[in-house]
Amino acid sequence: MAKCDLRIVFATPGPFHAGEIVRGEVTADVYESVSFNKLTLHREWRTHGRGNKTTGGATSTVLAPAGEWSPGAYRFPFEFQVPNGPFTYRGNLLNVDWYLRAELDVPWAFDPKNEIEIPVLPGPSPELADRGPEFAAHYATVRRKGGGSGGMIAGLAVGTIFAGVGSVMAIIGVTSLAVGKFDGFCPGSMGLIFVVTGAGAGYMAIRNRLAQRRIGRPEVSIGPRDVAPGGAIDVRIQLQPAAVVELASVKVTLLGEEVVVSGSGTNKTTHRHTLHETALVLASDRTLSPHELPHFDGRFDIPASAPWTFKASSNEVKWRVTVHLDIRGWPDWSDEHPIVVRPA
Amino acid sequence: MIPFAHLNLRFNPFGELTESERTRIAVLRAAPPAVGSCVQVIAGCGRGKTAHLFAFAELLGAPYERADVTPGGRLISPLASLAAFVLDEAQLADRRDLVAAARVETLVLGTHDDLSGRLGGREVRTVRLDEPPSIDVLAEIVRRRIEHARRAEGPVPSLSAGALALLLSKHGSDLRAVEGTLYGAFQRLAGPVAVTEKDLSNGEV
Repeated sequence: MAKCDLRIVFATPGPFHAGEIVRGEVTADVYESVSFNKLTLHREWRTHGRGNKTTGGATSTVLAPAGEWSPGAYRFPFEFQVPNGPFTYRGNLLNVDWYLRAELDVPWAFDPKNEIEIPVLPGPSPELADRGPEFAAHYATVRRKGGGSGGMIAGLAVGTIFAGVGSVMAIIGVTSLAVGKFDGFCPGSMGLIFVVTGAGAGYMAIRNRLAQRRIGRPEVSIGPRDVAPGGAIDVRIQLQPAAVVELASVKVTLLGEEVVVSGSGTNKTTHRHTLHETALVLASDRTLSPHELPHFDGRFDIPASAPWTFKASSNEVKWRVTVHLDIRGWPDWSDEHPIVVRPA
Repeated sequence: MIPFAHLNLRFNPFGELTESERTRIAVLRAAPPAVGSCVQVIAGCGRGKTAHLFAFAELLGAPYERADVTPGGRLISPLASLAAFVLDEAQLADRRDLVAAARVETLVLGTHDDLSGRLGGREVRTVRLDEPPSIDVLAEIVRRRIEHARRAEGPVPSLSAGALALLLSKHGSDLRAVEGTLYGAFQRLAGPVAVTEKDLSNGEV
């Protein structure tokens, strides 16, 4: 039997709102005399679910310095201000929870401890909320897919390498088969796969550039980029065609998803769960001429229950708007734009 | 708002665990390596190889390193001064590092390929985890996961014998796939009841 049991009791039950002062006490029911180094109250948030666990916001408070307890009951009051995020989240692949843990540091013995969850909801300043340790860096510097030349150059490089290696393998394989050595089938077929993969990667890298030769560089406006559940986002796509263009469709999609990563190195796996997906076809079967300045407008309603954007290592709730122009007889154009869903 | 309180659990038992959690609840299907021996654990992805390696590293008090995430492609552990060493994804290790690791007194390798011919003639005991576990072993793996997630005394979810048999027949030795199936089943569970074959067959297995 343990020498003592620890419990954490709140003065008022949760959930708690950011900025609120939470009061409670740690109680110790002591059954045998125990000497200890300190009694500490730890607080932190953690993710759990299908992604690698990550944690943050850690604080510790010493409730009792070194001492000795005789059998009996002891109480240690505490209070703290509820942090302004990250907020408690209950998803499919991802959960975010705050924890309070009381721990008694007993030398040369098992440390009695007790841990409970603290449900944390938004308070009066949701626009300043902590949305995860990687949120600020990511959303300040995120580049649109296909918007810069860096992605195109990298894609062409990868495609060239794959195609080059594949060509060599294919030549070796075909040569072996030509002289009756059937073990050339494996490198030959692998080489063909590499060539096809490389060609595909190269094509995807330059697809938008090719499309822009016909439709010009599309101007995509999305506003607001930071929206609360229940709000709305307006999307406008402005085109300046360089030639006569037959557009099969102009489609925009609002996608919200949980994206988590489990494992590492060669065992890394990405898991996705769609939270929300809405597609709007803004135009279909349109012929555009070079002197037009057509624009296409749409509006997305953000569901009232939309989960808030969150980003931490291996764990993310992300929202984005994708734009897809289906050009008849010519490579398509597509792009994606991150948006942020925040508490109201 | 308390997570998984309706199941008397603290979290989904089949979500991702930390290294120390995996070590603590690992069900070992191989004997721990004897001091002075060299053991290679051969298995594909998702067969429990890394869980075994974590547990062996703790038992031996040995550093654990992965050859697939080493900076610059070379191991960072000071092999010459170690009495025991555990190397995961050893099939990706630099040849020089493998030769150096083979000189460590007690060595455990996790690998997808048989490395017995690449260890400078050192005698190697081979453990293969590619065979499906017995139903009793699978039941124990599941039981430990659920107990690790237990919130308080009282009922917690369990798995019926039929559900265990179905998992084995569908996934064999792929414990990662078993994990994924059970994660989804537990997400849908309404209370601390037994998960049956029917629950698993609802589009998830």
